[in-house]
Amino acid sequence: MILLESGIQDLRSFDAKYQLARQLAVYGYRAVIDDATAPETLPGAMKYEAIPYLANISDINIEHMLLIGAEAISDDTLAGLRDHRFAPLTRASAIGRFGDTQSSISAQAKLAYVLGFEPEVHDLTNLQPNPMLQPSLAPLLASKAKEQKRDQRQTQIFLILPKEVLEDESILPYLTVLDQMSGVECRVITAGIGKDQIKTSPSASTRVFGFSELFPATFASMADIAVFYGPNIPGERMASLALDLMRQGGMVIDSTETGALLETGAPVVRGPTDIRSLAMFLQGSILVNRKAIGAEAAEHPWIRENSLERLLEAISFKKPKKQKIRKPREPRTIFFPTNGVGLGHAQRCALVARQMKTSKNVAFTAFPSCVPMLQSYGFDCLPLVQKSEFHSSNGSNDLLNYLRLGHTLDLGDRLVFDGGYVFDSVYRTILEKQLSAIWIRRGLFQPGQTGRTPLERESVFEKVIVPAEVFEELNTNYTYSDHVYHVGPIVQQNELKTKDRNKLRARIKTLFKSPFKKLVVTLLGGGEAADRTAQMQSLCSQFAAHPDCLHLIVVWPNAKISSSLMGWPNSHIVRSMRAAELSQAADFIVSATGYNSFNEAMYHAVPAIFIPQMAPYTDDQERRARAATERDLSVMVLSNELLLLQREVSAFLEGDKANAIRKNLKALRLPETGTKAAAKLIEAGPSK
Amino acid sequence: MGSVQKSAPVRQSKLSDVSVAYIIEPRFSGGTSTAVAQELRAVAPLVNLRVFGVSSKTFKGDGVAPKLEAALLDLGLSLEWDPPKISADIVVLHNPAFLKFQTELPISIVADHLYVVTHENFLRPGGNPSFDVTSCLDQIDRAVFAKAKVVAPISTYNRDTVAQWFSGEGARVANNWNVLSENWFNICEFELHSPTAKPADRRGRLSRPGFEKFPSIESLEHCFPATAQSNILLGANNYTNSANEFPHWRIFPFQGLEVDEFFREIDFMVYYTSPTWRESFGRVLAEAIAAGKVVISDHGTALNFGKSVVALEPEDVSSVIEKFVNNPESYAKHVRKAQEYLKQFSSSAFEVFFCSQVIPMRQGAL
Repeated sequence: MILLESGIQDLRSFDAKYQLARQLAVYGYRAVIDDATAPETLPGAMKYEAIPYLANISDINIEHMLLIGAEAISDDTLAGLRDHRFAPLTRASAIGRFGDTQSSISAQAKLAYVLGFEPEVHDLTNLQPNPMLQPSLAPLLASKAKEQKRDQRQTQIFLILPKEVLEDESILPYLTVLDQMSGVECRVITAGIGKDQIKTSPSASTRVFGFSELFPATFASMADIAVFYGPNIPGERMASLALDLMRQGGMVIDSTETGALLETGAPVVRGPTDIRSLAMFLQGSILVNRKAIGAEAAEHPWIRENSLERLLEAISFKKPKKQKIRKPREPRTIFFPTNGVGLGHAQRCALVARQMKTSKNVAFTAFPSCVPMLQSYGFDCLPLVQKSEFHSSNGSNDLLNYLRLGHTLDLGDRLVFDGGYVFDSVYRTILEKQLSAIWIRRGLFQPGQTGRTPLERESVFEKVIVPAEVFEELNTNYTYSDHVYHVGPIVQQNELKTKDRNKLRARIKTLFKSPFKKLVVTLLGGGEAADRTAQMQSLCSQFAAHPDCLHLIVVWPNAKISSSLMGWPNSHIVRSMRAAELSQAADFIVSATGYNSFNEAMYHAVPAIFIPQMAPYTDDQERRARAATERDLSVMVLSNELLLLQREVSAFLEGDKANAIRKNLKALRLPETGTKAAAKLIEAGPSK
Repeated sequence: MGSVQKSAPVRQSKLSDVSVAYIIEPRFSGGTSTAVAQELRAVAPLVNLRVFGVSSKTFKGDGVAPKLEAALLDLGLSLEWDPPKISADIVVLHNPAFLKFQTELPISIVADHLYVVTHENFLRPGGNPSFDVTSCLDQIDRAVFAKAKVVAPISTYNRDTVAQWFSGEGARVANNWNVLSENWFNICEFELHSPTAKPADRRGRLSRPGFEKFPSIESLEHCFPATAQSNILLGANNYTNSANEFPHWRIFPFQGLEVDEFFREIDFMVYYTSPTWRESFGRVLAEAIAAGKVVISDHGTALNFGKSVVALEPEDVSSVIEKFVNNPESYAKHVRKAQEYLKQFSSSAFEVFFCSQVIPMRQGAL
């Protein structure tokens, strides 16, 4: 194992270390970074980039320590190295850009003092005399691609636009011009402020990334051509993008004011400094020749001089163990349902997966609450890590999930994500692994939920499948694109026949030793979205006065239930995954208005008193409940209307309201379900 | 490379005619400045002495080392900064390492004899250079016009590194330089204290805080174990975070404790450095001997002090200390012998050395 260290401990050095760790991994070398050297606060993207390489190195056998930026070594770094107490056979190397012999001698001596043995010192001034950027902390070396590049149907052009370039707002419309060129997709990489500027301009449809949003290597794997604008090369990450792209046969166009890239001797093409001339320049001779130019650049002596292989030769790491060549497995379709309030997303994905003809290559990755249900349906399921109050920071679980997704998914696999918000783990994995990805995105967002980030991330999915709501006014188009597909409601349809319903009621009577006349099922969840203990207590109290009534509070097997709901006469808590069947056995239900439970009530004609649950991450349950109630297909009671709830329950129990609603439901013409259509869309692959 | 042999002492009456120029980087802190200051006090009454300061790129600011400043003041000598030209019968350039961050010594020096006193070892243990010796000696070589250019090592260990360097990387320039046959030692004029009659296992070490001054943590654990009655690490600025791991160490930053108080608190000075670095002389060991302590160190460092310093591997330190503690007489005997040995580093010894080794080199001029 290689340990990467840096001369000074700051954000820039940390960034340089894990960039190098990633590059080394491409060549089969396993490198780690001491987690004790991680800065206390890391920007979000850096956390994801660094985490695969962070380790508690006291548990690891370090064979080789490589220190970068050896031209300046702080006392903190030296103390850290001293405290590592490396084993006697550990090798140590240091690389730096030393101005003179004395600096090199000093670096070697300082390291030798704390290591207790001599390190090898390599001067980048000799190894890499014409670097892309100077001074730089990272060695800035080009590396081959980690994954084989996916064939893109259109040439991917990335414009690197520092904020100075965007100060001239008159160039913004030209981004659209470029994006609309035949056979070309235009992307922009810029600073955060520039991103906001473009997103609020007429070129808002242009896909924009922040400089630090993704690994430079990921950008390089996505791009065919990178065009650099502005006064200079905007930092080490973009320099790294240029290097990797050229090494991998892509093309770099230097449109900087100073010709900064060309000056280094890099095999780049000089382009127009005015972005308005770029379209014509590209169409003239670049696009038709880009592959030939790229291939020539990849073999250019400058690239060889600035490639990671050069460093590997100089340092001669111990050859990595040949990894067992895994038998290539068939590409798989992996479903990743989130677990909002209940298990709706998982249930929906399972319904779709079961409709797929190639279901043997289908697997799941899901949060622990969903795993038993998915496994009970016969699917393999990798558990993800649930959010927890015990995690040190918000989003820690998503970092771990990012690692798990990375290990599970390979190029060629298809990821089907079902959730309202595309997690960073999902977003990054799709781009880094160049996955074919599909988003099952139910609608009915609450106002404010359709902010830029959630929908902006739609662009990484090849298809977006939008399952419809039962009522037309609930179907809102949030985005318009030829990759958004609308299908009918995805709903579990296992309607009980009268005979089976009666059998089930008889079994319940036996099981609960209750000769009930009325069976009521409450489906208000385990309190994840909102605490409904008060409503359930009120119901229990009401049903206590009705000995001819059996009230079942049905929750998922792992739900947390308040002890205040225990011990009520005529009420029982039932932990079950068969809520749909129990609902159909009931005379009526009291339910939240999640997509699945609502649609199951509609399709199975179960009278319901709906109590919408509204949390920041739920859909707009109130609109859904109101749409049915306005059609006399249900009753809606808001969470604060406890007295109304009691009146409605009485009306359902003692009056004929439940039967009237059931009659209306049976007469309702419902849209064709979309489960099969969704399965077909997934199996069909990328959009044509 | 030639060797400069011992000559007959010169007559005292004519010495004052000899012009001697000292070239120093006066901002050097630590042992080098202290040694030079004592040397100036010894040499000034003998010869016609001038002192020149070179502002090298190694240091910033204009703060002259306090002990040096005091010596100049006491001797009524002025420090002449960065003269374009220096001319003297004998030129003594102390510590060529101050030139390591530059490529040229911008002074024209004309002398009968030039002595370059090597306060830093040329090589570290294992043979890697301590500094860019080639560049430093080349700068001096280019700047000086002299009949003889002499490198003067300050100790036995230091001499070994000089010889090794000239036979290796420095072979190219070996013909340009002679090496003085006797050591240009540091003057060690410390007040002598009697050894304690009841030594206890009270250990300590004193140094500047640089990483090179400390051995591995494993070695420190051997040297300063929990079983000792007390362990004081003075100057261990880079170990202050280790206080929790080693609660039996009393850690003080450099100058965090008066040196006299430090010596009152210990009976054994246990001094090991990084195995990749060695003291070129080791004034701090001489200081501890003078303070009446038994001094223990590694073989390389102990070499400069004959048998006055007990040379051991760190693993053996505790057993040797136990023997001394159990035999106070041997403790006192060892200290007294060691203090006797220190006399060879006295001012009067230096005067004899200077008059017999340095001045006669230009006898023709007397």
